[in-house]
Amino acid sequence: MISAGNDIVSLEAVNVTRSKSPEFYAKILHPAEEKLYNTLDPSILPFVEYVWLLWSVKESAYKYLRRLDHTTPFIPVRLEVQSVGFPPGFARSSIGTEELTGCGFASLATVSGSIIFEGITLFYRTLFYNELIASVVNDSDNFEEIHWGLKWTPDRTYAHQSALVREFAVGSLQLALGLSGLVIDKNEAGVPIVVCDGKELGAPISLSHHGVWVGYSFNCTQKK
Amino acid sequence: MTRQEILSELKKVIAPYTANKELLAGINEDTDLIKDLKINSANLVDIIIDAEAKYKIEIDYDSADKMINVGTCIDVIGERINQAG
Repeated sequence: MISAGNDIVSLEAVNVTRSKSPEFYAKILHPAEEKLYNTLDPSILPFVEYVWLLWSVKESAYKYLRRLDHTTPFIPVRLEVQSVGFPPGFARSSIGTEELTGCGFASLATVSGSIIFEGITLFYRTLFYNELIASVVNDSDNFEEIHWGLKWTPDRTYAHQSALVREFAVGSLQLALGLSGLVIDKNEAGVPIVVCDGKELGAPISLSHHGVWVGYSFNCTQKK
Repeated sequence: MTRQEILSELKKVIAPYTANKELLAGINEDTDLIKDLKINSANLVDIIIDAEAKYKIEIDYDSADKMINVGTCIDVIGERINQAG
């Protein structure tokens, strides 16, 4: 069940007032997730950030599952985040405009947990900074083969961000796979695919952009 | 409301969430909200809430998932208006 799923929420682009309104978050949160919030420390995770953290995990899970089954619907309340864990002593910091890339998350303080959809459990890691929330999901709790990257851009236009995230991801893909001439295209279902010499490579990739951030994740598990 | 009337109002609902105002002016029932109008998925919830307020209807989760292009948005809104009436 190898796939890839990521999502970024640029917090400066979030409508805080609307995010706090029950009519809004009731369309995103599963009823059990409203109870789950009561078990968390709001000084570490304010409610607005909680809503968007769960959104980013749900969108990531949807992308992961939709690559495997193109008929998968995106109904956020039916994707249930089951746990939200912080490392001991977690304190949110600023990323500024720094570019970040990695393979796995071993040296980083991440939010982690699991999410379930129609009996399928996926696991997530989320980078939570003052400026953004960026999630990646996997079908196991081991992210050692999951490559990811985040890049800031002042240009908010769709065309620029779409081109930038592809260029950014291709650079990392070529390094990780030892190949050149890679291109990111989309298949008939609109799912991003990696193409080399006209052939699709089995390296599932996910792309995201929101506000002033772009990011990718790809899964190298099957290359082993 | 006719489909044309719903479409006319729907343009106003969508307008704050797309930078592609030129395409918005000429949308038709096949126009895809994400692929064509480049609306971020995070804003789809905003559009559903704004449509609920505009038409005084409730859009359930399954119907919201069908609102992929302008035509399916009009289908869902039209159904809900008829049910409310």
